[in-house]
Amino acid sequence: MTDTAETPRQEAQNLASPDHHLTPSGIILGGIGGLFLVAMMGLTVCDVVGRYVFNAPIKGAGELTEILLCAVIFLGLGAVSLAENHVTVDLLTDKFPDAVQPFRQALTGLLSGVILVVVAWRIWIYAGQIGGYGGSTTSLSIPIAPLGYFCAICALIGGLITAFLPLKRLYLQLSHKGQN
Amino acid sequence: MEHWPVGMAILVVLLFLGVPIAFALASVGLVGVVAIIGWSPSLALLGSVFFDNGRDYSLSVLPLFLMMGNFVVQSGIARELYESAYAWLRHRKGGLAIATVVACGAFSSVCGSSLATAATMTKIALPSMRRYGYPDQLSTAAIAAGGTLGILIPPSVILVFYGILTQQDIGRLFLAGLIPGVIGVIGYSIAVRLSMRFQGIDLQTESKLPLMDRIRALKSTAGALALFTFVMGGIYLGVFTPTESAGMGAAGAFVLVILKRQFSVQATLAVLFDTMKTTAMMFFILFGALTFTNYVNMSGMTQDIQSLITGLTNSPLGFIVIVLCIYLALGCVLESLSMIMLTVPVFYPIAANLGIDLIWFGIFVVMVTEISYITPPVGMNAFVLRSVVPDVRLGTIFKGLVPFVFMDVLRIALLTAFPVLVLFLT
Repeated sequence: MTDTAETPRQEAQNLASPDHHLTPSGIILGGIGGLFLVAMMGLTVCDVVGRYVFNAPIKGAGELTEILLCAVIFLGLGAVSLAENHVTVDLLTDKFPDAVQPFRQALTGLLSGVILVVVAWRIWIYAGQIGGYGGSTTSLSIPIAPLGYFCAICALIGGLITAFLPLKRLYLQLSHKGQN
Repeated sequence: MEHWPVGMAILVVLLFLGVPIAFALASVGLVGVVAIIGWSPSLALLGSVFFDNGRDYSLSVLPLFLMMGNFVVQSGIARELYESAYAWLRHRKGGLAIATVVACGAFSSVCGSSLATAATMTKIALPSMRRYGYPDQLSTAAIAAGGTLGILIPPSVILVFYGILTQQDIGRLFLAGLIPGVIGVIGYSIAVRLSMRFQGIDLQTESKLPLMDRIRALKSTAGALALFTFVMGGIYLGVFTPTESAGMGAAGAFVLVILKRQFSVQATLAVLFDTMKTTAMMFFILFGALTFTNYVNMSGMTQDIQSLITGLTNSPLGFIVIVLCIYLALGCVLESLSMIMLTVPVFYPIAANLGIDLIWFGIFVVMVTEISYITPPVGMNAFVLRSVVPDVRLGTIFKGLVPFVFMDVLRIALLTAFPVLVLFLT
């Protein structure tokens, strides 16, 4: 089993040779997230140009940007989790014996997964509270609760992926050993 | 009750075990806050830290500046910057290495990341320097050091984070980074000459280009210059806010990609996917750091460290020296962004209390962070270089970097002695 958890060294590697070949999940996530990012950029440009040239800024550009930002962050969590791209300190972990690595990764993955699931749970409850008093954005009156539920679901999926991938590796390694 | 040392110890253990920085910070922060104010309020706090900060309008600068940097890389203007810098410097001793430093500085003015600057310049500058017989020790060091300018010369992702954590004006921080950045370029150019003298490197130079040819060479830098002037000029004149400047800059960089005929759907999708991933990565570290900061504030850690430091010294200068030492030590272990997120919330109230200007302090923090990019064992820029050219040993790169780190320390001393160099543009 190869160690796919991201370390600064590997991150450096990725930076040095950007991979233009995306996996199917990358194309879908990148497509949707990319659309959001381009929309954020376009909103700013139209808002500034509208303000100066047509004396008409876009109504609610700021709050649309906020919603898009939040969606990009939590959508991106899925992509980061799938690639196991989270930033870690690899000063000591590289020096652990190979036999220990799958157990170490399962442990750190489990802890990360648990905290993400707790975050998901709390955002879900928070979104419920916001929905309870009909919380919405100031000028466009977009309800905020659905965004909260979306983020909670993303965090939950991210947490499950983060815990599952290293556990699966550990399981495969153990069962492989059992066969020998 | 003092339990923050226990919290810190657990955090260090988790980090060394390889728990992602974001989640190590969040879990220690959450458990710590629970220990102080109990379950129910701390869990409620957790939800709002992650959800409310994710919808903070001023934070939208981050993905947009990241996108701008990624588009600038895609546009391929780095090569043109390098070629025109060389046209002006080719008759000087070590001209190629000095041109590398200058091109890094120019590239930094449109890209906010040190790693992206180092990675891009390695691919362009290293082959040329090898062709002209520059030893790897000098050429890799020039690129690694020049790359650090990415976070000092605006736009800068690190300065954005600093501004958010300390509630300082991002536009002012950007303007403050300009002159220290230029001093950095000059310092690294001197470091190139120092290396040549001490390592006994003798390199042949080319004949001086006629003035007209040199001026003609500047033409190809127009795109980068226009983008920089557009973004910084817009902030300086107040045409748009720093937040808006990120969106405008990203759009400008995208236009550059199209003008340079580098557009392709595949590459653009990869840029967007990459931007989204980096955004998520950085924001979750930010959320973790904010959760942890709640704990730091409630546990009285800031006050304890403050009284510890004021027990040692009462002068701003003494404080700066202590902070410098702490950062140099932490830089050996932590990657730069995490280092900033962990320490700035603790240090900036102390700095403010001592009457230190927080804009100046931000530039100081960034310059110290630059050193951590190029010093072992966790020197990210050296790692980047190493992964582009695996045949160079890390030890060679770090050895070559010694004169550059020396100039960095000199620059920090200079800007500490004359803070006006940082502040007079703002």
